[in-house]
This record gives sequence, C-alpha cells and structure tokens, in this order.
Amino acid sequence: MTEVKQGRGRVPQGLILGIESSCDETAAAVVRGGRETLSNVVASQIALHARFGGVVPELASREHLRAVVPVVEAAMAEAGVAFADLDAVAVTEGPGLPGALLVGVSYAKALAFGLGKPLIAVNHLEGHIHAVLLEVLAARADAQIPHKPTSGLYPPHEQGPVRGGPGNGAPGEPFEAGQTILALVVSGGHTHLYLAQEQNGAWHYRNVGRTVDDAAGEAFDKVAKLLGLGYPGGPWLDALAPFGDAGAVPFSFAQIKAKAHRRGEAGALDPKEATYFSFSGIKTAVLRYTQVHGMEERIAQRRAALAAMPGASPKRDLELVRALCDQETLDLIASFQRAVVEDLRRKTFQTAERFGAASVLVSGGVAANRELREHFTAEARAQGLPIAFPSLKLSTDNAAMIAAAAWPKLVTGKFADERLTADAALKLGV
Amino acid sequence: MRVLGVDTCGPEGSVALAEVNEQGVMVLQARHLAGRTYSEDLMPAIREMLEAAGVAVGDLGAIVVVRGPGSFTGVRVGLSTAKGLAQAAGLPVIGVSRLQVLAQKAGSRAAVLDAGRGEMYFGLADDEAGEALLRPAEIRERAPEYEIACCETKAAQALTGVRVVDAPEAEDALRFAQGRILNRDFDDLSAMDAHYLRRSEAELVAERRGQ
Repeated sequence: MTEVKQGRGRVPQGLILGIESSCDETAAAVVRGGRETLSNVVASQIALHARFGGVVPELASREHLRAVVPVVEAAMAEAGVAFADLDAVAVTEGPGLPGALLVGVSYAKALAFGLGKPLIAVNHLEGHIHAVLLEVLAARADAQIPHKPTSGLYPPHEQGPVRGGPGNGAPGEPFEAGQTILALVVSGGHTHLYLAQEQNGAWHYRNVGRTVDDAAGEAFDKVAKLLGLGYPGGPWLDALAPFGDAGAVPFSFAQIKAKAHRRGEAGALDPKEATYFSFSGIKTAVLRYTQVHGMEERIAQRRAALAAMPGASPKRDLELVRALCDQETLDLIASFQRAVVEDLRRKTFQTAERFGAASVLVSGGVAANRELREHFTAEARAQGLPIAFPSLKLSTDNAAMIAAAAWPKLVTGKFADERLTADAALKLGV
Repeated sequence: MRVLGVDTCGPEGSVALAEVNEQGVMVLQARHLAGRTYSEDLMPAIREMLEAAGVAVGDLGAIVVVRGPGSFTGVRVGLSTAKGLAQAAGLPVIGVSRLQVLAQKAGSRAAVLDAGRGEMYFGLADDEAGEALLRPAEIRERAPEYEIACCETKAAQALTGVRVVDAPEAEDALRFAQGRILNRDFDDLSAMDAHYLRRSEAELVAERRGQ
C-alpha cells in the first residue's frame, strides 16, 4: 500500500491534490512542493446553514457529497494539471463532523486507488498550521526572485508574515527547521496552542493549550446570534466593533485549572504546563448584560430586520446593519471582542515565553479578525518575536492547507492505509 | 463489459464484479461487508475483488452504485467511493434505487424497506420517481392489492401480504441495471446524488416551526 507508483519516465514535482470536508466547506486544491498553490477551490455552505443559525451536520454531509466531484474538477482545471501528474492525494481525516469527513475520506481513498497514487491523511489542525507555513515559504521563494515584489502578495488588510523588530536580521529565517514555533489555532471549532517543530523533514507537535468549553469562534457566533446578528457571527462582530467603545463593559476571565479527575485522562495536558481557555462564561455574561439593560426588544427588532435581508454580508451591508445597532449594543460588541482578543493574546504570549518559542503563528477562522491581528502583531513587535497569519483566503477552512501539510508526509513516506476512516475526535501531537 | 457494483445502504453491504453483456450478468467476484464499518472495509474489498479477477480499475466499463434509500452514512460512503473511482478512471456511472432492485429481485410490483421510527420506504416497480417515506397504513392505501417485496422481519411484521426475500445485494443491482448498462444510459457523475427519501431532522423541525 505504501509503495509509490510513478508513471514511467515522469519526474515527480511534489504535486498534491488536497481534499477537505471536515465542516461546512467542500474544498480541493493543488499545491506543489508544500509552497506553490496552483489552485484553491472552496465551495462554502454558509448560505445553506444560515437559516438554522449554525452548521447542521446532516445537511453538511449531503452538500459535501453533491459538491465533491465538481470542486475537485475545478481545482484540477484551475491548476492546469492532469490526474496523472499528481504525486499524491491528501485528505482531512479529522477532527470534524463524522458524516462530513466520511465523504471526503471515502472519495479520496477511491480516487487515489483509481489513480494508483499514494493517499496521505492530514489532521485538520495541522492543516491550519500549514496554511501559514505555506504562505511563509511562498513569500520566501518570491523574495528570491528579484523581479517579483513580495509587497503585492498581501494587501494591507490581508497581512502576511510580519517580522518583529529585534528579530529582523537575526541569523536564520523565522519559521526555519529546528525552531520551536508556537501555533494558536483558533476557529469556530478549535482553540488550541501547539508547539510545532520541523525535524529531518517531518513536523512534530505538542499540544500545550486548549479550551475547556466553547471555542473562541463559537463564542463570536453565539454572541452575534444572541444580539440578533447574522451567522456566521465573527465577521459581523469584527465589522461592527470599531464603532463601539471597547472599554464600556468590563468582562473578566476566571483563572482556569484542569479538573483533578481530568488530569489522569489519556491525552490530558500536563496541568503544570498547560494553558486553558474558556469562552462559555463570557457568552453568558453578554446575555445577562442584555437582560439587565433591557435590550431584548431591540434585539428582537434587529433579528426581524436581518431576517428580511437574507444573504446580508458585513462587507456590503455594514452601514445598514450598523444603523440597526444602538450605541449600547456597539459598545457591548466592542467590549466583548476586546476581552476575547486580549485573553487570547495574553495567554498565547505567556505560553510562547514559557516554552521559549522562536516565533508565533495564528491560524483558523478567528485569525481573520482584524483586532486580533493588530493586537498580536503589536505584542510580537514589542517582544521581538516573528509572527505570521494566513491570508484571509487561507484563514478559514480550505484544501491548500491540507495539500501543504501533506508535503512533508510525502517526503518522509508517511502514507495512509486503505482502511483509513474519519476520526471525528482526532488529536494533534502529544 | 466488466462492471463493478456497490451497495452499502443496508445493515449489511456488498460489492460485486460481473461481466455484463446481452446474454446476462455473469458474476465473477463478490464480497460481503459487515455493517457499521463500510468506510474501513469498502475500498479493501473492491481492491481484493479486482485483484482476484485480474481486473484494473481502468478495465471497468462502468460502476453501478445503489444510491439509497437506507443508512444516510452508508449511502454516502458507497456513493463517495463510486464517485472517486469513476472520476479517477473516467468511468461511466449508474445509480439505482434499492427499492427497485428489491422489487425486481422478488419479482414483485412493489417493495418496502424499513426506515425506522415506524416508517417505511415504499416504491412501485418501474416508478423510482414515485418512491416515498410512508407509514404502513399509507402503504396499503397506495398498493391495496399488490404483493409487496420486503427483506426485513420488521417490515414483514408491520404489513400483510408481503413476500420476504433475501436482502438485495450488489450483484442484484448489476442485474437490475443490465438494460441501462447495455443501452449506455449513464448518469451524470457530478450530479449523481443520494436517494435519501427522508429529509434531515433540521429541515423537518424548521418546517414545523413554519420557517
């Protein structure tokens, strides 16, 4: 099974087709050598789930089955490569929604077998980390080509790798092999801290932090929902927060310690070293604030107004939706976002210091949040730590990150068995 | 023409490889699959079967896949696998209804499959478009005098006048699809979808709330 079959006389180029179906995006991408994105196609199901206020697993699975063939066709056509040119097929094996994952896994196994190509299983969380590394490598490759300016790679709002002050000019590029990178993966489903390191071509991970309840992105979605705003909530709060006073409502985060009975569990973090997040309390605090301040009626009106604007987007309809929010609501939004961003920033950089990380990367849907990017970038600069975020396109779920994470596995010959199945609760690292 | 058949809709699944021509369907290889582990077992079973017959994926003339009704997850594992194989090798596909395969296997004019929650998937032979999710009483209204094929004791107990046969398998699906295979009446690979007959719980709840 692990024997790599290559076409006669064909020179391997490191071309990997990545497939991702762990949640509500069906995605396929072709990436060369873990650094050159030839195509990156994402079929989003946001509109399908919006009327339910969240992802409905059965509907997501159904949509993946409908989308997988056209999405892969589009990715191949956009990349301008034939199936025969591929060196491997990579697929997300977990974590995620089991039924959704199974579509991608079953399809990818059959495609790889039918093509006589090796199959590579990728952890979705590792994918998010490689979304950033992919762009760091791509930017570095571009920097070596004198006529191609790197500045055009990332528009100002889509910040690419940023170097901290004193880190500039230090020996060795940031994110080089052997360095310890602290990665914050923060999305609607995850809030994890990992130490990541490349050794002899393979990547190794150690989980050093996680949420004990809701993911940070989940808190954004839930708070947006309880304020009568649209789904997904993150982009709405991000867009509305600048109009409010972030100091208006003081939110606090309790110190979280691992429960004693959890410490003995397999996969439990070392309580002395672990960082814990908790975002369910702040959601309840926001709810209580709206009740104490009699905001229910305004929320109901806003919800009704937005229900009459299906497909409203924070980019296009910001002024309309802002007009639906009174100052008290805008202040609450700004204060909530500030509290979450500051909690993430403080704990992430404390963890980086504790483990002597050489650099920090942030990935996942919440990495698209502008206030988070600003605060993390400022802190990194102050500490002289290189920091990198993915472009907006690679912040949310995509398959380019899956194909990129598969590249080191292709190089080191880590292929999946034909009995591969979805692992909804798959963990990353030790 | 060598044709691969896949059925992972029911509590047990199967795959079959057959030579399909004007004379009929000659089964070359078949494998049974235990339920609940289709995602692990399906690809190895197909590989073993093709190897045993000395047939490469590219040698196949078509893939016949049972699109449901049945276990939502099982249906999707079978269809996703068929789609991946077909796309890799540029093979034509035919999707069939398990109710139609069952009716033909039993030689009955109608068929039912247990759908759980006191409901059944019901279909008249040669009328896939009219298949529906019904209660036993509704089925008898729709087919008062027909002999109805079924393959589950639960369904047999809930209805009278049924003919109980063995569960349809992948090779039965190949026999059912023989005419379409020979006429090259294939489905569009991109558009081929599962035949659920039951909507998702979320949609039903939303409908009840009048959304």
